[in-house]
Amino acid sequence: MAERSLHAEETARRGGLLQGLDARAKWIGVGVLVLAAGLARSFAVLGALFGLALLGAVLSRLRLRELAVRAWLPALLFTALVGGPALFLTPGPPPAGLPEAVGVSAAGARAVGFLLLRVETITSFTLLLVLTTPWARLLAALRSLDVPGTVVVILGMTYRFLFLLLASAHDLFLARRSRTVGRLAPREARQLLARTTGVLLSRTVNTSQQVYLAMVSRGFTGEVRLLDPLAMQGRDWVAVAASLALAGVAIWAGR
Amino acid sequence: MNRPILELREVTYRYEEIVAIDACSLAIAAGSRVAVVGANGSGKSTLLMLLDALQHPSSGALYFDGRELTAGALLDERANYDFRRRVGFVFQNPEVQLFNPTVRDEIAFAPLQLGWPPERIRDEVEQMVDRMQLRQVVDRPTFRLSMGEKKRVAIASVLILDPEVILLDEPTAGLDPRSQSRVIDLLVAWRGSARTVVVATHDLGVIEEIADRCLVFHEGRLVADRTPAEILADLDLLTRAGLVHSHRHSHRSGLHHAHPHLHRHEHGES
Repeated sequence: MAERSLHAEETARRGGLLQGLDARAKWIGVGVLVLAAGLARSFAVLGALFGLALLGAVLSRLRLRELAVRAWLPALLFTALVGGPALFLTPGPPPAGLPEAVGVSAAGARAVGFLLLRVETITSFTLLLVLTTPWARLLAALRSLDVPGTVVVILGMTYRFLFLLLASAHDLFLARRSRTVGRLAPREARQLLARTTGVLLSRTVNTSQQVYLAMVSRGFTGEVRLLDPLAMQGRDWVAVAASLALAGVAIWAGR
Repeated sequence: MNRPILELREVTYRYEEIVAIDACSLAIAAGSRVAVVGANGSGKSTLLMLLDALQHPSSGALYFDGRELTAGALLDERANYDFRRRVGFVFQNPEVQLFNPTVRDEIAFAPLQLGWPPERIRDEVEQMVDRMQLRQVVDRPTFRLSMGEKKRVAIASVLILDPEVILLDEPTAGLDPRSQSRVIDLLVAWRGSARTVVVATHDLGVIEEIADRCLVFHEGRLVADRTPAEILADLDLLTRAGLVHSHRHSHRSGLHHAHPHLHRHEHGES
């Protein structure tokens, strides 16, 4: 995860369309486009929004393969898990060309298709934001958009907490493996897992408190400060206006 | 003795039921070098946390430069700025202190929090990178550094503020001899400066080099406050504090010990 996060910081520092925009403009732009994708009830509109996300990725020099691995595939699996049963449970005639014996209804297929395309589109837009903006600038932009400081601190600490949790989990796993001979019985394995999870959580909470104290010790008061302060320029306003216009059109056309 | 820059008056600190610091009173003079020694769990780290106002006494009072430090007092932005600017704390575990994407971001963190102008921060970061010999790793993510490099980055991230008081918790713990020697050289170099240095350690081998005063803690209590030479000469005290242990063994030289003693083991000796 640390490697992935580092990679995100690297892609955020590359030259590209979205990397050149102010983080606040991106939050607003992505926010309204995600809203439009959530409200759209037309495949064509959702497809167009998905295409827009693809175009944004290409112009921001992001690799589509990376988007596929990090966004589309997990979204597909998630949607299949959550929406899959609707294919069979939604009443109605089957889609054209599919025998009734399969048990899939046209209405169910349409609902799952919508869900899938909507999730893929929203995930792509969100990933565009994350991959083209350094984490500190994302948080600073939130503060600048009047999101309460407590929320921003919680987000920042959650990010750091995840790293600590994974590092601790890795260490615990290695330590356990080095002291385990042979295979454990399923019951023993479950007990060990439960104990390890408890130890892991308490250890990580303790370490994350230490991280917070280390931040306070160096003057952190909850505000996110940047070496290059956020500054909205002409192109940022154009991007916000274009996103608002596109989202407006998508919501109108996708009613 | 110079004016006290930090002072504890009858300070007790409890972690729930456990007393970590027990009715401790002491004054640390501005410009002094103090080693705080004690076995694991003796209260050294808690003392440093209290001195950096990261924890507040359960009872008693802590003073910085003559003013009482309370949680409420540090809510005042100016007071907090002044204190954080003047007192720096290097944690024992550098992992908890390094939370920025790169070494450069890490070193710039504290000045950014204190609102220094960006140009000044950039200049100071570059100078600190050279001073701490971190040029080769300056753009590297902190999790990819060796333990010695992490420690140096942690120290650099505090030193950049040029604090009057530096608190270091076990600065040489977990380091290889070369990295230890670099950190000790740094501490030795601070002798003669106006900076106040408080170092918590259980490495008795370095305290004469880095300190002119030594506090011994045992089970949360301050049990001795003398010069390092006097402390090192008092084997009974060191044994009681768990800093040396009594054991029986023989050396190749033919010497036999059956009492507490302070020495360095050479390779090949048991």
